[in-house]
Amino acid sequence: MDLEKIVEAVNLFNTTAPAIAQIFMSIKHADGTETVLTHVHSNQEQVAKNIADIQAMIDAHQPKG
Amino acid sequence: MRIRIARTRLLAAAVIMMLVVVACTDDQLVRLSNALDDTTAALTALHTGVAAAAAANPPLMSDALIVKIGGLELKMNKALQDALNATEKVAKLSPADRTNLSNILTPVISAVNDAVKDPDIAGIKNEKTRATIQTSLVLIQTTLTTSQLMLVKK
Repeated sequence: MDLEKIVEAVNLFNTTAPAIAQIFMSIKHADGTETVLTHVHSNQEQVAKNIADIQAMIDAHQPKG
Repeated sequence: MRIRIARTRLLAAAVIMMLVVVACTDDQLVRLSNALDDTTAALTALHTGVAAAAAANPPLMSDALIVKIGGLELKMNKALQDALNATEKVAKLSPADRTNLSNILTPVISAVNDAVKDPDIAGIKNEKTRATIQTSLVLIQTTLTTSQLMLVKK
C-alpha cells in the first residue's frame, strides 16, 4: 500500500467516523422510535443542574449556627 | 481508480460496523434508558415542587422538612447520575453492568419506598405541595423499579 492510499484512507475514516458515532448515538429499534443514548447527555446536564439547585436550597434552609 | 476501490471498501466496512452495533444493541438497555429518561423528568418535577414550596413567603414547609427532602433528592439525583454514566458508553448490558447498576439503584429505591410512606411528607399542610411531592415520589418509585426490572436477565 503506498502512502497516497494510506493518507486517503485516513482522511476518509476521519470524515466517516463522526457519522458512525452519530448513528451509534441514535439507534432506532424495532419496538418503537426510541433512542438508546441520545438522551444521556441532556439527562446528565439536567441531573447536574438539579444537584446544584438542590444543594443551594439545602444550604439556604440549613439551621444557622 | 484504486483509490475509489479503497474508498468503497472502507465505506462497506463502515456500514458493516454500523450494522454490527445495531444488531448488538440490547432491548433491555433501550428500556432501561427510557426509564432513566422518565426518572430524570420525575426528579426534576419533584425538585420544581419542593423548590417552589421552599421559595414561598412564608415557606410552605418547615426548614427541617426542606432539608430532609433535599437530602433525599440529592441521593436520588446522584444515583441517577451514576446510572447514566454507567449506561452512556455501552451498547449491550453485560453481567457486570447489571450488577453495577443494581448496586446503584437498590439503595435509592429503598429510600424512595420509605419517602412514599413518610408521615412528615404526608403531613404537609399545603395540599398542592403535598400532592406534587407525593405524585412525583410515586412516579420516581415506578420509573426506578422499572429500571431495576430491566437488569434481570431475560
